[in-house]
Amino acid sequence: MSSMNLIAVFVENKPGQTARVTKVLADAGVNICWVTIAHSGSFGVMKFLVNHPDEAVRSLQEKGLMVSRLEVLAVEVPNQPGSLQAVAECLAQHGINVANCSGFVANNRAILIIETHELAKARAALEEQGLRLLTPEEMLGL
Amino acid sequence: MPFYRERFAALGVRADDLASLEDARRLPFTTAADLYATYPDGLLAAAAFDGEVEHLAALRRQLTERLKTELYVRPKVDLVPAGSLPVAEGKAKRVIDKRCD
Repeated sequence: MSSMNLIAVFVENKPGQTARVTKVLADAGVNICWVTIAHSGSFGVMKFLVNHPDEAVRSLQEKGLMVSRLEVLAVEVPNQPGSLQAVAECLAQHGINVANCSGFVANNRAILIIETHELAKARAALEEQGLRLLTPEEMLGL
Repeated sequence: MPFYRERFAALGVRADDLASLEDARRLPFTTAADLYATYPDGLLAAAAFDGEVEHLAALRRQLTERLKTELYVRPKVDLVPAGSLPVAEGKAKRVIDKRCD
């Protein structure tokens, strides 16, 4: 239900690669709402949250790029001290490991994007905690 | 792999059917035409990239180990995007094995 997909793209870790990938998205008229880049030595993975994921995947694959989709959770937390700690504590109590996490504040709303291998379990745990998970539509409308 | 999923379905072969060596005779050969039809990477298993940078790092380690087992030297393995290697480089290099038995 309130899950969302990131688009992950394999890139070489060298100048011009970010420009190359984002040009494909720009030319396809895809808007990027959130981005992160992780690297391991000579290569890396760029992850995007976009307004038109199908269009983005199609246009990237057309250019010969390696693309995959990745389901994540977007959690809205109170914009105050201790919010991330509360989420981390909740996940820890359920024995859920966080693979990647990113957070930001937009219009005074604090959002955490969480990647975990135990997505369903994490979703249930966070909802039980009374936290709200954003739908892709809500995320794009921030 | 979509290519063989379709081919096996067309031949009516299912994974459960394969119990003996005799059953293996029902499997199709991979022909040159198959390779042409699926060039360049249609016959590669699709699971190689799942968006996890640590899985890519693990893949690189595995490739290094597998090549080392074959070559008896540890090669430097880099993962690069499909189609990004210059064609001329592979052709220009010749490897001459001067090791004695």
